[in-house]
Amino acid sequence: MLPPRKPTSWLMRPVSAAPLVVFRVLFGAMMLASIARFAAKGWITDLYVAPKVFFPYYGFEWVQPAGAVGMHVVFSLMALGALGILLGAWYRWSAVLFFLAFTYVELLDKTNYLNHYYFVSVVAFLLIWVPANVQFSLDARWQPQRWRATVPQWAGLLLRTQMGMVYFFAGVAKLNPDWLLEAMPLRLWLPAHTDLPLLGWFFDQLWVAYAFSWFGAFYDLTIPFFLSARRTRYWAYATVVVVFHVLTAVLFQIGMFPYIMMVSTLLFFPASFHEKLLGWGRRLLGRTAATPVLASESVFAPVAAPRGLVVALGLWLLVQVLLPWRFVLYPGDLFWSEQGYRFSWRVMLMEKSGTAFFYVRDPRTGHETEIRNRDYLTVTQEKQVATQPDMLLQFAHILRDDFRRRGVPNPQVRAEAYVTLNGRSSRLLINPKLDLAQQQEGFGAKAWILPLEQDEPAGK
Amino acid sequence: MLMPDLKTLRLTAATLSLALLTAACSSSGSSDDNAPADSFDRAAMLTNYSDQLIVPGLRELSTEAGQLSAAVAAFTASPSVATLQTARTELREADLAWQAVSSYEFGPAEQQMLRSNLNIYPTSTSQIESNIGAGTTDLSTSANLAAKGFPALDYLLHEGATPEAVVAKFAASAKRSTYAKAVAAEIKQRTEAAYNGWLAGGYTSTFRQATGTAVGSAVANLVNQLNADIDMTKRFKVGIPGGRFTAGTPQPLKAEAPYGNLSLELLKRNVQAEKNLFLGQAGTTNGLGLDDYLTHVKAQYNGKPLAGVIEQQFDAVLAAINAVPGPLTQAVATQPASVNKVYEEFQKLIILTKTDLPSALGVSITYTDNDGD
Repeated sequence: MLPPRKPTSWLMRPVSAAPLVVFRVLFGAMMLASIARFAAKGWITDLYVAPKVFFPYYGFEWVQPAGAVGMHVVFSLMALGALGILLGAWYRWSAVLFFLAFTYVELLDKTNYLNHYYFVSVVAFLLIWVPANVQFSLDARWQPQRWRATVPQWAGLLLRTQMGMVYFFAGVAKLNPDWLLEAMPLRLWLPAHTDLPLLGWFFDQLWVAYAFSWFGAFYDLTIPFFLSARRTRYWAYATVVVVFHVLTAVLFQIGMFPYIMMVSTLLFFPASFHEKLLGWGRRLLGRTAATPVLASESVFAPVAAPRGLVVALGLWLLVQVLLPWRFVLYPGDLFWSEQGYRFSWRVMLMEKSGTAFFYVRDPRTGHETEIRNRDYLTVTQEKQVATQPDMLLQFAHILRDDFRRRGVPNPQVRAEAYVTLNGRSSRLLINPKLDLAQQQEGFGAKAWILPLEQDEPAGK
Repeated sequence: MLMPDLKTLRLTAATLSLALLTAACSSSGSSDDNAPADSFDRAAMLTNYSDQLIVPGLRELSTEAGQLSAAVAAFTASPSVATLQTARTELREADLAWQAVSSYEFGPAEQQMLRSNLNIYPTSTSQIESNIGAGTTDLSTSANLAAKGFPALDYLLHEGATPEAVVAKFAASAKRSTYAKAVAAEIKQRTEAAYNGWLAGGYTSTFRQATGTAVGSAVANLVNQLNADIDMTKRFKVGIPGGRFTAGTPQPLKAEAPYGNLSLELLKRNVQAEKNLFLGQAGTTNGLGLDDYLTHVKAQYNGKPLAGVIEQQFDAVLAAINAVPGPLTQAVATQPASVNKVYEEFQKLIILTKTDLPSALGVSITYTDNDGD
């Protein structure tokens, strides 16, 4: 096609609404299933009711859990929002409700941070702004004048660009010596699967770990482009998206993520494919016509969107492009210090685990008491605290405040945290003598993180 | 719809060739001889654990528990110094047999909650005495967890200035006898149930078939419960009596089995059992174990084989325990440095077993199912 003469008119150009509508339905359905799974596993209570303490994000300390009843109400509202998205009922309000409920839950405790939860928050936010309810929705059924055959170009482009960035940055993150030169951490993870039928022996071979690493990096970097190109699209989807994500679902414990991605990448398929899907859907529901009876010429004009919104969403994408690079502003090894690690699509990149001992000293007596972490933390919280400096600091402050309440005026808190990263021998993560009670959280670099010796390769 | 135009295709081609070029360059520059020679027989390792360590260990425990229960019954039927001594000997033997299998708290042992039902200490002497006074013999309530098991028998059979004084207490109180018998009977019943669970209950095959290293697999159970056990050994057997959690003030009565002064002997047996678990060692026969698995994946620690480093650290803990002048209940007050040394060696051990070991084997240290990314 011809290059656009004016970018804004190109962005506003009407295109078929079908891909966006199909995405809305599938996303709503996946979210509803995810919430049901989450609740069925008892995770609402395990993760948001049972813990004694929480680890909010810097600047979001005011986000607090709502108690047993409250949290179940929040998840019910979240499910209601997902259902509204699926059915296209009061669509924009449903999207807002889902986004707020989901993001609220994610902000409660960074222990539970997962890239795929962040992805859901991001997509939910974008869904608020796109007209994904113009067809195959209760909104269009209740108010036929809102039915449209088309949506403006920018709406689908926005979601595809966001999707593409997820893969691309996941690929960029794999371009590091551990991943490419040492096949870490796949070299540690794959041999655990030698018991799988037929392919089992395969996972014990070192070359397989290298092949998977290189294929993974290549796949993530290129799949957005292969999916965008007409000639490679179906081939790429069938052999690669399905094989890749099914394989990761089998090998790793990553819940719904592979399925969400498999469904979301359908966005790259042409409108004709989605029209067909919607046709089947309508037949299934016993609806015959794609257009309502009261068709008029207005149905072929896309919903107008204020130009300001398009500009704002463009800025959003710019922020999304820049955010994964913020780590360059911090000194030291990114995987080791995790400064600038989150919100950057760094998926399954490291085998990192640690053991942390916390000590509280009463300066009046000089006596030091070791802390039993599990008196305060859940298993998962303890695990995350041991390897992430910002969480180490948060826990130290929790201890400081708790000892103050118990009558120690100026408790000193220090931590011995031993961490192994991608097979390297465990070593101290932070200065074990430092009084963490005195340190402040912030966006600045944490000078008390000890360096990871750069000359030592992974696996030694 | 995005355009499948020439620009996109060219970009794709460029990315592709760049990636291939990088691949070619780096693969020629990297020399790696870390490839595992051939597959590790995890099934054989699991068979070694079930057939040589776990099942014989539980059989020994349930046998000893049966003898303990009989000896307590004989003592309470005719209280005398002689019958008391027999009961004390059987208590010691059963408690030592327990130390040998306390690491295997999964499957039938987890169902019976052996750790909680057999060995919660410090025992609550007030709860025991009030149970005796009230004639309570239902030990299943959670309020009674600290009033039963080996620690309760340690108190009942040992607390008293002389053996004669202990005998006199039992001779004077039928309720005391009934309570001691109930405690011993529960130990017998639970250990038998755990042992039978591995045999008749068929858990042996469940265990061997739970391959892989995910949550719930046999390897994950072994690694996680080994760590849970070392953690508890460190904390309860050494740290708490040594005053680590009470700003340096020793708590001798919070040691394990303080009345019969068995603390050090039990501690040593427990660490030896944890070491045996790591090595896959039964008696003097060293079969396939986690150490061999580590060797197979060529796990290194500061340039040395990780398996050897962990084994040495187990030995360092055992040497430190041997250097403590017994009994532990006195050493925590009179020889705190020797007890601190044990604790410090434990810290070094647990860093290796809880951080380096699971990481090298791809085992996640977790007790619940959760998602990762």
